[in-house]
Amino acid sequence: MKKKSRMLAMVLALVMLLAACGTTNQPANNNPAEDNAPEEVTLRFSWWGGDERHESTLAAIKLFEEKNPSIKISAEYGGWTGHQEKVTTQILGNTAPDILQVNWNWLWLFSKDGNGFYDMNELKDIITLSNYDKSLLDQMTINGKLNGLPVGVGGKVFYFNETTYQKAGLEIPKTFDDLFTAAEVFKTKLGKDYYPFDFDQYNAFLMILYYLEQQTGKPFIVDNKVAYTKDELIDGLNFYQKMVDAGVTPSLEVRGAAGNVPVDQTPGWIQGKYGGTYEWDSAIQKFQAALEGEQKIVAGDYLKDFGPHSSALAKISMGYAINKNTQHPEAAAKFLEFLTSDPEATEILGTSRGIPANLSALKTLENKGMLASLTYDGNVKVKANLGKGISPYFEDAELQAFYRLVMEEFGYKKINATTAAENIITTVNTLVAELSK
Amino acid sequence: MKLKKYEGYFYILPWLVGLLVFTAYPFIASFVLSFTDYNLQSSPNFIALGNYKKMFETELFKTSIKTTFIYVFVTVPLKLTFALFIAYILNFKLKAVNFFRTAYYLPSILGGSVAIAVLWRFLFADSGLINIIIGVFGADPISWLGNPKYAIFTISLLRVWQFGSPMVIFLAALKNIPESLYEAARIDGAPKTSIFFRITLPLITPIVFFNFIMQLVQAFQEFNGPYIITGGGPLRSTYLFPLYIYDNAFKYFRMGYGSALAWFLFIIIMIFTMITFKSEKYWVHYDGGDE
Repeated sequence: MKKKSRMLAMVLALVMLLAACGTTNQPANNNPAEDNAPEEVTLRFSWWGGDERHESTLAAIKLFEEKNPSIKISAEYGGWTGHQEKVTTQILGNTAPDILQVNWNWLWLFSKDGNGFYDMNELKDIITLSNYDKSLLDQMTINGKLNGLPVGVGGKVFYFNETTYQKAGLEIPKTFDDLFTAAEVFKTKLGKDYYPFDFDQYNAFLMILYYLEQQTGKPFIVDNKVAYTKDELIDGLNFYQKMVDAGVTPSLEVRGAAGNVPVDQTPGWIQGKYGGTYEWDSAIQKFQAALEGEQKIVAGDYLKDFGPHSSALAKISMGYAINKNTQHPEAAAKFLEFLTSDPEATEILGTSRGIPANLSALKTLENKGMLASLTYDGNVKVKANLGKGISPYFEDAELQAFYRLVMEEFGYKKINATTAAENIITTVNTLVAELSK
Repeated sequence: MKLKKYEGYFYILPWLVGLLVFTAYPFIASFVLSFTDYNLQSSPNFIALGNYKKMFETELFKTSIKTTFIYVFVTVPLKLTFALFIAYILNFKLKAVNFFRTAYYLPSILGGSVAIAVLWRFLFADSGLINIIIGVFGADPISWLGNPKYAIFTISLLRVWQFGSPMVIFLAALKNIPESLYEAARIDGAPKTSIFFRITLPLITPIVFFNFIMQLVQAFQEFNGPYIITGGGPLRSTYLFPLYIYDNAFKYFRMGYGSALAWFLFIIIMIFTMITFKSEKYWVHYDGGDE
């Protein structure tokens, strides 16, 4: 008896161990079902976003599962913060989901030679590639391999809080001069904690690039080097400082008092004390949703005081990629085709991922009159003001940390414009050289 | 019956595998990786002490170390003093003392959780509760998180506030002091301060010693607070060393360099622990006379 229970305990211990190890990797089913009943497959799908995107995507998944009972989609979603770190760890550790929402520049990060993701050209029987503009597919192609589907083209747009401007009795600004005028009116009419616009560290940096590209017609990085001269950068930095001094935008020190929070979660934005934000068209819905009460956001015109060149910062906002190690590429492709072009799915998803690049989806939304949105308004403006585009390395995590830091040092007056300009040139050149190796 | 000899290992197998896979392996692997340029994307190359050399040439490394020392040497003494003070009060026979003991311990249960850090951020934001309260007394709002001079103390205060676990340990120690000693002192007419400094404090030095080491180790590894409340800013004023490790390892994927940094932190903590142990004989009193 005693011996028996001892054996039992040992077996239990082993079972527990196996159970603990076996949860992540379902054994691959190597023999496809021979009868007609399709085997059930489960696909993992990960994305980042705000509540609107989460809810609509979950609803679309539910519809897909109803229509395709043999495919289950397990959703993995959350906010942007920490998402890239998580996905990177998953990809490099071979535990990535089957389907991923990816940033455009991730392709160069995880698939330098084009073999990092599943080549979607092989799935062209399931995915209708003619639904996409060829130039967009080209931007997702590395070494002839289609690494992802473009979800949309997006850009940074000047969005304004119409309610706040109405309270000040002002029109929505059309030029930077208007912003400077608004700063004075805001201070006297609304209070000293009101600002006509809000640039955080990163947006302040992007605004300087916008200013410089409009003047010079050059994008920030050309041939993996900073294209602006030191004097041009100094000029841009001084222009930003001028905006701070005039009260167009809160100083970084004032902003910093709210702690480390995204713009849409700062009290200044929520309460309408910041009259505008420089934001991706695809993300603006969550900024609108964050506002207290009945405040309303509108897409403003690109402010043009400085030169002849249009300089809207635009890029393929995101894409869908399939894990190169997936066991079920066909099922994954089927799901993506559904998500990107099915009329019902399109209707559910709306513009929660920006204005779709998929032409069939675009048509559906047009017919349903669903394109009237902040994102669409912004998107139209972006497409009419396209700049020269960005380098795939521009949004590298370390570079982004650097842009923020250099703006902070400049904003807190730890360094002057000359030093900041020199730092930008040296650091960006060094890091981009390292990245493009 | 040879099997019987190893039988015990079967029972602890799940734990054993966990230890080997999740603790021992990463421990050894990170040591090995710290001598390589591993970046997750290509296979590691051996670069000897390259990472360790690079550290000392990096400005950010030095800033981060300096910030960490300030943080540790503000947080630990404050927290211990506070914990001892509250424990001392709670040791009196007060009404509802159990309620207060629980109340003061509560913040520690919440631990280093993300939610508490978010709450802290709201409390100390420009329009947060703290500024509203000081506004009632007519003071101007203070930029707790936006001013590099204050930010580090705001972060530090979060940990000081969670003084519960050292407090409970102190409390246990205080209860162990024999009442007869106090009685004798009182009969001799000793004032309260001398009783504290000549009886209470010497008798609990072993516990002070233990708490000091535990808190020291914890403080050196602080991550959640600064990561969530200030993101290491403004101007890197709260950029504690674990944030620097995290950025390098998980944002820039310099696993080799990140591992080297982690080992450097390990060495620092070890040195400070050793110094504390060496100093033990000068200030820690053990009762019971086995020495």
